Amino acid sequence: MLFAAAPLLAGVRNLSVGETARLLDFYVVLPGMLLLIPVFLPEQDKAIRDLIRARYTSMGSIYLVRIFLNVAVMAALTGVFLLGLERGGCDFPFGNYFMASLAGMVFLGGFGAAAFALSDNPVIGYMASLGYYLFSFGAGAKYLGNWYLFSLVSGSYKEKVYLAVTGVALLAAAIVIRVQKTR
Amino acid sequence: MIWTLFKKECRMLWKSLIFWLYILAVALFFFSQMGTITFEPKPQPEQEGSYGMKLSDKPEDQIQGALGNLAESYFHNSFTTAPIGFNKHVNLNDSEKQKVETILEEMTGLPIEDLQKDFDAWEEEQKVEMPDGSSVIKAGNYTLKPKGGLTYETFLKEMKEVCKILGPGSDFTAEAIKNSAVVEMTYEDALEEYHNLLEKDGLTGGYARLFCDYMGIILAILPVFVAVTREIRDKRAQMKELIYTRKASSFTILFSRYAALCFSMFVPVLLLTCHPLMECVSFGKGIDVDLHMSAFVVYSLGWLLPTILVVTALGMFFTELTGTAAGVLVQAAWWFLSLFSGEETMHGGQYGMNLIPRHNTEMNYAGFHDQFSQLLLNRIFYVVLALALVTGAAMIFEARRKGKWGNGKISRIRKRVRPASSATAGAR
Repeated sequence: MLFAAAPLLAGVRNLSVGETARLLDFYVVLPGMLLLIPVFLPEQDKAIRDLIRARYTSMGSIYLVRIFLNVAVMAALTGVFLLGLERGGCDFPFGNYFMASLAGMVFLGGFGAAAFALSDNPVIGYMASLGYYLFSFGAGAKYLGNWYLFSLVSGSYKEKVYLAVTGVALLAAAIVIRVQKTR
Repeated sequence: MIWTLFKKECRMLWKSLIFWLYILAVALFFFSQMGTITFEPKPQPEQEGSYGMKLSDKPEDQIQGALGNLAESYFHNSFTTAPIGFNKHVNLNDSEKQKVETILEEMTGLPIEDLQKDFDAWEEEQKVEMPDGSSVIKAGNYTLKPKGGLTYETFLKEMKEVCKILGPGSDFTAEAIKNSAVVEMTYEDALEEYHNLLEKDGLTGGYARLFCDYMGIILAILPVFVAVTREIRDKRAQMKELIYTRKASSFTILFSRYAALCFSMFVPVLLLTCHPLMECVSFGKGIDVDLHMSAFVVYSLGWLLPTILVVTALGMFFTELTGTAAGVLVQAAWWFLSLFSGEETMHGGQYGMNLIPRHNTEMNYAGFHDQFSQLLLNRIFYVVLALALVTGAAMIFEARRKGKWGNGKISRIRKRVRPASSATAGAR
């Protein structure tokens, strides 16, 4: 839904490289957060958790599958959105920007999921992600260095690599913490 | 009853993790954005470099700037608007282009061909030859002189027509037109601003505005997390049934909760103001200034408290309505839109109805003073909205208590998906 709202609110046609980067960095990165943070939500209810734990499949692998599925959906939606941008006459390097967008999403999602796992509270997960977004916005590259969220606008991909790797690590950590805590 | 509940809520809140995370986030944001104040010295008559830029409030400057902008967009056939702060290119069809052409001709009194020649000539002038033979176009503001006798009112009327064609967020709204008349500040201008800061603002006023500008950003989103967590807590602990049977009315329960939330979240903000206040005091010792000591408190109350009130109320309302953390998403969307669409009005004096009124400078007392009634209206509106939302939340709470609306679900038609939950609750 957020993706669909973009043409109404922001522009999606004939954007320059810089404008596209800005849209991707600031706007498109948010839906990723929405998909990845609630990954532990269904099992929050203790009764459901007990029910699932009694099954043969381990909790860890269930979470892993769920994350993979969500990332796949994220990638598909982002891909379609970027294709739409390209069709609309926007000018940007598709492959690079696609990976860059995913990196941001995975990081924010992982950060929030880890916060959720640590605190056992989904709202804190959202708060952590939005807090990081806000902090990037305000304090920016000065404090965050290689983990600055909005580097695409200045044409730099290095940060995206850092974000992607850290994001994956955070997601893995989130699963481990969650499984350990709810044992 | 309401007072005991208030105290209980406060105590519960001060022991919760998310409240301390809130305080941490607020403090972190403050120190990373505003931190230590660098006080500008008094401007000197023959200063090197510029004194800064200001917006000219002379209608002639505004008209020339806006007309030039319109012509440039027309000739390049590319109109840019930014409804939520992200650039959007608008394509005009032939009849719309014709309308713009007519407006341009009427405003300048010249046929479009002459305007085209003038514009092409200007673009040629802007071209700079590079050593390797290529040419770069220098950035500049194209301005067009209006025909003699054009009144500001007629001009604004025609610009409204342009806005209708382009849609929201264009450069030709009344607000945006003021923004297009950028001129250099003279020494006298700079000196006047400096004196305003000391005399009319008592030094603290200007920095209080800056404080409110920064803190407004974070206070438009953080309180929703605390509010939603508090509301959801009852559901997770499965306390709803217990609370429903108590003597206190729904309004008492929810308003005491609301008051506790807003009070607890506002106090840290007030405490933070001590930091810039002390900095102002120590700076003020060196120069002759009559400090307004209460400025920070007054500004925080009037500028920031309404934001906290409405965001908390929204969080409570949507959590009561949906039984989920949907309030976070709604507020995040609102915050996002307010933040990005406020980018054009950073210098203050153009507050509109934005949730986050911007004023990113300790100067511009004039802008603040002129638009004070608009700001007041803005803030009062949000206080009223906040109270309405809390009342709404209380009404929903009451309805659920009476058994209407199902238990925690909006539609009673939906089957109960978690029979396991009530079984566990029954076994406790």
